[in-house]
Amino acid sequence: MDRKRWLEKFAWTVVVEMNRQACLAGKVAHEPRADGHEKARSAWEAAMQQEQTFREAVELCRECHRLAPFAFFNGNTFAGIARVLGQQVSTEMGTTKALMFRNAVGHYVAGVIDAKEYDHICGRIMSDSK
Amino acid sequence: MGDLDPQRSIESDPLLKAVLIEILRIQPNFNAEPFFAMTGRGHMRSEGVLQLQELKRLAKQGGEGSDS
Repeated sequence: MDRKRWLEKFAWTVVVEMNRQACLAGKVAHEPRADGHEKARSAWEAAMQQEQTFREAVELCRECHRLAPFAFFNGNTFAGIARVLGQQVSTEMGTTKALMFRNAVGHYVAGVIDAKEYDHICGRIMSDSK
Repeated sequence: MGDLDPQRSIESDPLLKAVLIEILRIQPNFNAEPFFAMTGRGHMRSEGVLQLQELKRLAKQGGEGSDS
């Protein structure tokens, strides 16, 4: 899969704003978490400058979810980013497989399937799409 | 991009706008609290299972024409 700067449009301030709006919608306070914010910001900003495979970008989204830079709604913030980026990968898959692919991406970033399961599912979808 | 007002960046960029819409759309499937950080295992109320079951049912009924 092509390497590119998947996250170049996603300045950390944009990610923070997206989480702020999620917190606003969820009627909870938007604030950084001392434990994870700096680690996630640093990893994210480094990755923004790098060409990555889609798999690597998804991995970063999952890692930032795990680090939990924000007090609330880390999961949908990072899963939402990865799922929409996944649309660019799944354009030629057909409706059902594209949906399965985006769901696999979302579930992986959410932390409900592990890397082995994710790679297996995506491998099957990709091989069936050829 | 990082120097712009992030709210304006989101409003003016179709990709960023699509992401924000998706974040808000899937929000009911997620717990607010950072369980993944606390437990090492994430939680998500899956919308995918029912959707996929329905899509597979439809695919069986109508063939896989849209997937070729």
